Formats: sequence, C-alpha cells, structure tokens
Amino acid sequence: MPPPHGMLPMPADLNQAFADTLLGRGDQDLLAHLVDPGQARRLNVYRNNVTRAAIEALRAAYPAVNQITGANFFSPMARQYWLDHPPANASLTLYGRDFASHVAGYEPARTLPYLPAIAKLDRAWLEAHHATNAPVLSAAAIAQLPPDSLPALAPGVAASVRLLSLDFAVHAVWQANRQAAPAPQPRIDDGPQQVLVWRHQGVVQSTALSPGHFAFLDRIQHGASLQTAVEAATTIDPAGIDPAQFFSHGLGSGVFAAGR
Amino acid sequence: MQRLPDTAGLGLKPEHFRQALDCAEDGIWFEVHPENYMADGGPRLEWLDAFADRYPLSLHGVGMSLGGMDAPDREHLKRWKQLIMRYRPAAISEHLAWTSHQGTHFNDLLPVPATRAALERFVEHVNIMQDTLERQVLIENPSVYVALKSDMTEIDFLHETVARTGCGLLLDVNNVHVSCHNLGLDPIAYLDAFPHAAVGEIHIAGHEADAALGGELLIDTHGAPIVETVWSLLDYALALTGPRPVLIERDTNVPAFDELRTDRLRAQACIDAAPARDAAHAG
Repeated sequence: MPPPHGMLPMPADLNQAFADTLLGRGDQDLLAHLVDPGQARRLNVYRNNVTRAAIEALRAAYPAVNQITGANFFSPMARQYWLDHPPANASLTLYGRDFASHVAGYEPARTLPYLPAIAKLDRAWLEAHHATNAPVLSAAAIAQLPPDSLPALAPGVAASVRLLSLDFAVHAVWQANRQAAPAPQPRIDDGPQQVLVWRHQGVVQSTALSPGHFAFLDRIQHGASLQTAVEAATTIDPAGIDPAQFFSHGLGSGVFAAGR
Repeated sequence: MQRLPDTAGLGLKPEHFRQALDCAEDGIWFEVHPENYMADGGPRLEWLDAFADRYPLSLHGVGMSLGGMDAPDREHLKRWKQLIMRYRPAAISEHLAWTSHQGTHFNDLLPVPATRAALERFVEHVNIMQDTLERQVLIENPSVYVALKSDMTEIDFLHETVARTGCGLLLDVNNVHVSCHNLGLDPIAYLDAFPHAAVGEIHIAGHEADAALGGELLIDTHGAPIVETVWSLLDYALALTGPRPVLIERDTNVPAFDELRTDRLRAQACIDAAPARDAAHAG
C-alpha cells in the first residue's frame, strides 16, 4: 500500500529475514524491508501470534498435562517444543507428535517423572479421536464364520486403537485431569501400567489392561491369529485371562478391525 | 456456478456445534477453516457432514501460503480436494499472505510486499490452487501491521491478481479498518478503489489495541465485539458492491451462540439495505 521507496530488497530475502525474526534470531535483516524502521517494535505482533498459535495448539492437544502443570508452567515448555519442532504441516490438528519425549527431557519437569506418561495418554486420545472411520469387526460377522475357522482368524485391531506401555500407573490420574473440573486426585501407583485407548461410536474410550490382555491385543495388532494371541496371553498370565470373554467384550466395543 | 447466498453467515466453532446445527435460521450459512478438518476421520468430520446436509458451507483456508516463496504444497492441496469432494462447499477462499517458508509453518498470516516480483509469484500460486481444485478461489485482503517496501499499491496488486487469475475477492472490512489505521491510510479511499465486481464474500470481525503499543497498533484478533466504525464501513462497502454474503468471524473469547446470532441479524439487515447492483458477482 505505501508508495515506492527507493531500492527494493529481493522478496526471497524478505521471507528468510521474516522467518529469522519469528524464530527469535534477530530483526536486523528484516529492517531493510521496512518503510519505517521505527515500526520494528510492531514485529512483536507477528512473533506473539506465531508463538501463541503453536502453544495453544499444544495446550489443546495435551489438556491433562496442562491441567497438572498449570498454564504458566505449560506455556514455556510448549514454546521450547515449538522452537525445537516447528510445525511441518499447515494443519495443527496432529501437531506435537514428540511432545512426550520433549517433556521427559525438559529439565524443569524433572520433579514430575510421571508427566511423560500423561503426555503419552493425551497423545493417544488425540490420535484415536482423529483416526480414520474404518469398519470394525462385529459379533454378527463372527457368527457368520464356521467355528473351526476362528483360531486362524487374524482380524487386526481397529484403526483408532492405541496400546500403551507406561512407566507409571497414571491412567486414573490422567482420566481425572481430562475433566474440566478436576476430580480429587487419585494416587499414582508405582510400577508400569498398560493401557488401551480407542474410539467407539465417536467417543474415545480407555481402560487399563492386565498383562495378559495387553499381550493378546498386542499380538493381534501385529497381525497374529486369535490362537497365537491366546497362547501369548495365557503364557504371560495363565490364571488371570478368559480369552473368549475378552474377545467377545472387544467385539462389542469395536476394538477389532473388519475386512480381512 | 456454486456460490454463497447473499445472506449473513457465521464462523462455526466446535463449542457451538449442537446449537448451530439446530438453529435453522433463515438464510444462515457457515464457514470453517479446512485445516481444522484435515484429519483421517473422527466425530469432527461427521459434525461437518451434518452441517453440509443442512446449510451452505464456506471453506476459508489459512495455510496455503499463496504469498510465499514455496510453491503450494501438493499434500495440502490434496487434502483440500478431499474436503471439497466431501463437503461440496459453496465457496472456498484463502489470503493475500504467506504462512510457511522452506517447510516451516508459522500458522500466522504474514505480510506480502506489494511488488511486481511478489505479484508474479502470487499469481502463479493462485493459478495452481484454482487449477488443482478446479474451483474459483476468493482472495482476502490482509490485516497489516508494518509497512513493507513496495513498488505498487495493495489495491493494484489485487486488481492485477483478479485480472490474471480470474479469482474472486473476499473483502474483509475489519482488515481494511485495521490496516488503514496501522498504516495511516484512508479506509474510504481504499474501499472506493477496491475491485468491487470481484467481491464474492465480505468478512467483519472485532479487533483489539496491541497490549504493549496501545492505540497506535490495532490487531485483528477476532476476539472482541465488532466496533461501530466497522459496521459503518460494512454499510459503505455493501453500497459499493450490492448485496453480498457477509460473515461474522469470532475465533477467540468466543461468546454464547445467541450473541453471534444477534450480530448476524444486524449484518443481515445491512445486506437487506444494500442497493442492488447489475453486475453478477464472483463466487
């Protein structure tokens, strides 16, 4: 809009200079592109917009992490993630894939060693929420099959299924911190925990799994037959698993894939 | 030709999905950012299916970076195309802005200098977008915070883009107010010179003074009520263009749905008061 002003710098240089400004690498190169270098202080608007877009996308994607740490702790942690992993996609819907490992390495979060496990659960929720709407295996479809074909059936898991092996037993804490008004904080149990996160009829579900059930689903996810998965589960957990009941329950809640 | 009705629409926010879907208001239409629907599946996409069944939709892109150095991202265009096939929008639009550089996305509408060199690149990118999507695109005038060195006016830049690509324009009246305030220009002169016949849609929104610099710098936040000056500029713009689709944008501090409805009814009254113009408009 302003009238011509002397020599024009090359546009290529403008974008690079602007990118440098946005990433906090200095404004010097950009000043040559401004009609009035006195407007340099206005560049904060762009810096703030860009940083805020990334931080707020991460806050929306990791609500339980934000709830536990508080927004004032979360924002600089997210800002550092943005600097290390600027978005490579025009859509921020699935931005933040590596946030859990960022949290694990973020020095000020060392006092919350279970926080990366919370981040993994938030991420699993997001991925399950946005996963493709592929058809799931139903009990009715199973009833059509000859019974002796079942042991060799390798259905795979539904597209939304995420199986997590966590270092801390935080599933209940995570669930409590997904609420808008936090429930009384459940205690965090020592030791690992295995969790299933998936979407059923449009709503993301989650449940902690016994080692046998986890082994069963893990094998199915990797393409194993029902027979192989049952063997893996009963080897790990001989007394604690009823494979037929678990499979039937999974069919009713859309955990297995259709169409193989 | 697909186009939006000459009525008032609302930017669609997920927190209003249920109320908005059921509102059944006469002439209402909805606009979304396609980037928020670029997922493989899930309930958000199904909500938009329900809206597409009942109301005209507009897809208003914020991530194509048409004013950037890089050619339009083929993957991004592919996802745009999928959304167009699924939702059959009545209008699609993008910005005179850039948002990415060498693969890094800044997710903000960054300024393009009004230069011959930038124009050549912008025209090429708009052509690629329109050819790939097989649709006319409406290009929105930006909110500008700093004056960049240039060798033409933004108005001439837009005129040439329309002439060389056949694109339409999305006239954002709030952006006119914000940019003219920030750059010391006259918004009435800007609107008088704007390519009126190419306008296929109008936006109005709220803005806020910069927290650090105060009234010197207005920011297009979409986070506050629309000021009376912008409502007056809307009337002025509609008198130049004739009746056009007008959208209320609100993206932060999102109020109750009923408050947006009140704004929408006021915008509808502005459209109804606009004199008819002969020329068929873009979109």
